[in-house]
Amino acid sequence: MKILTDLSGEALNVNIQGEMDLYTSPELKEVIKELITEKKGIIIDLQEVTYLDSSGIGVMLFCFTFCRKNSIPIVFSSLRASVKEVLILSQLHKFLPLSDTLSQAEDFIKERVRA
Amino acid sequence: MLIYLPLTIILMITLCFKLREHTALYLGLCYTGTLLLAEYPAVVSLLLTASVHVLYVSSGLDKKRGVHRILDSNVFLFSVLIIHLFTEILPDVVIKFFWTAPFLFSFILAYKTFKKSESLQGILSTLSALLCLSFLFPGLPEYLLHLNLAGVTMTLLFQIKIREKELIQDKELLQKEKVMTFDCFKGIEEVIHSEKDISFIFSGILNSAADILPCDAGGIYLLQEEEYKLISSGGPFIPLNLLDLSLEDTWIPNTETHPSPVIKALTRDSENYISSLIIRPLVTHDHILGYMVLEQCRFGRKFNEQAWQQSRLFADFSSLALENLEKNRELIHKKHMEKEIEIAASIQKGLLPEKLPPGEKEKISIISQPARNMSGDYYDIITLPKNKIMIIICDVAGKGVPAAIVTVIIRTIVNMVAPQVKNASTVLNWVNRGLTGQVDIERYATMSCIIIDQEEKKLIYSNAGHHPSLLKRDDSVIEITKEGLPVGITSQADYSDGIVSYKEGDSLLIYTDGICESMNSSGEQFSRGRIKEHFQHAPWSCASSLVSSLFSRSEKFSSPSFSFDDRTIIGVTL
Repeated sequence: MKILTDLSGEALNVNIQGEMDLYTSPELKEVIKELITEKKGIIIDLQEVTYLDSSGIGVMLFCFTFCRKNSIPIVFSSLRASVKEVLILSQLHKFLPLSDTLSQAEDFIKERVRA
Repeated sequence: MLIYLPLTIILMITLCFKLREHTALYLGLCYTGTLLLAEYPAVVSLLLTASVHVLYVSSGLDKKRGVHRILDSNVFLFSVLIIHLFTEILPDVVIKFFWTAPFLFSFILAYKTFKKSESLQGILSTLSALLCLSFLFPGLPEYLLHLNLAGVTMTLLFQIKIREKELIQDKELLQKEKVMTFDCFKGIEEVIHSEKDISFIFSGILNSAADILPCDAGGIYLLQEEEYKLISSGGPFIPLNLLDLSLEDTWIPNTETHPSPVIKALTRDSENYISSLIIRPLVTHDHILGYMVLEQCRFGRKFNEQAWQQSRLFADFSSLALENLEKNRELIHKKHMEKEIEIAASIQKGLLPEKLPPGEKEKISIISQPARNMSGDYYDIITLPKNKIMIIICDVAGKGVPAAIVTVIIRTIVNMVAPQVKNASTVLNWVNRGLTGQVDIERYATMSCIIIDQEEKKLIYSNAGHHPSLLKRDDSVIEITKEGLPVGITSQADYSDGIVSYKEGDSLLIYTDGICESMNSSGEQFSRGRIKEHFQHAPWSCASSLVSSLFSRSEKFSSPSFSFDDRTIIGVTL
């Protein structure tokens, strides 16, 4: 798994590439813990994520609840169909904020910031 | 004069092939070249020069130093050669003047080699200078030249003797190193098995250093709690404040001529007098673990170049001992951990329903295989009043010990509430309330609860984000599931019940995602589709055949190169 972060935009863009599983996903936790200090909304771009297991979902849940506690809006964007299916099966698509495209994700963050 | 030549050449060849002593060989050959020039045309001498170079380069030893020696011998030989060529043309006075060049060269070389304590090379260079001098003053008696040649021969023979002695010493040193290696590893083993202190190994190494180098005293400092502590010492060791020193490879041959900030203040009469000092860092994988300090504490006792080089060996042994000890301790710790996990796994296994309720053995079949020793999958079969059976399946996110601990919490809640509940959803609500906020959100669990009401012939089911269970009736398979978030995420989650009636002979299949997510070598998953298809077309009516055939199919499908998740299948013939 590779994590690329772009701090230049209005929202922080965290691009994840590869597999999110038990062995790789803890790295994302550390990245989010650091990014929270930027006090900006966070878009987790999952377009390049090819595989997601229960541990990967666990880390997504951690990121979501951690940002919520710190009043930072977060959204998971551009999930591949196979990855989204894993979330749908466990009903978590109703719990985690998801968006189909990056522009939708940006709009979502803007709305949350305004609110 | 030429009668000495064969003897000289034989000596050269012996030196070259037997002892590989280059310096003496080249000086000797230069000498021979000069002798030849006095008697024969320049071509012979040129051939000799060429052969010197071929021998030198092909020997392949000590190349860097060798290049300098080639240049040296070139300067010498070519000076002699040029003088020879011009002997017929130039006046005698000029030729004599030119002879001073090789003379000066030999003289300077002799001075340099004597200064470096290479006495034999110094003697050879002196003899070369004397030879040049005899050409400068041709009137000198011939016996002086003979004496000169005899001197060369004696020096070379002496060189062979010394080299042989050195070889014997090297052999003895190697023998001692071998014994030290054995003692070192024996020491490591003793420290590990008899819980002896680590200083036991170091005192052995320091004793060897005292014997081989030799040295008066030595000490080992190790980095402990960000401080260098003296762990072991031998002889009248004088502890130093390492931080005042450079903390790198240090060699002070003579503290009186090379005073360091710490040792400067110590006078010869002082009890803490150090005459010579070596400090070697103990390094493993670019990581400094500590320092070895070796001391000479008596006036006149010095660590020479050889002792400095050999001290590296003792430092390396100490580093090796530390590294091996650390690795062994880690290994033992790992073995203890594995043993503890094995015990925990057997406790966890004991919590699973080993014996199915009487009368249900034929109807219900279960296979559960953890990815590691401990499982993140939990299942249970609980007999309820009024001829009801509750089936629980649960998959905690993650694997191994952390996931297994959560399964035990869930089991406790399930077993506490199950006897009182009428609906499946109540169990999930209780588990969710018990888990949320108490366990990290990453340890959420998907869960399914099905109550088989054998009197009413109906299934009451509820689901918390778990894969749908499958009900087979005649040849059709239907998914039974209800919407609901996994347990342990939010206390707001709400679970509801679904009811479906069944008839005798129907069958039920419940599984965890380790089955459908088994992956083959091309990265393709076993998938829910294959499970459904297998269930639909399974010709067996008994649960155990269905479960074992599905499990072995998914096992065959999955590639061993992919790590797999905990896998559980429950089959029920209704």
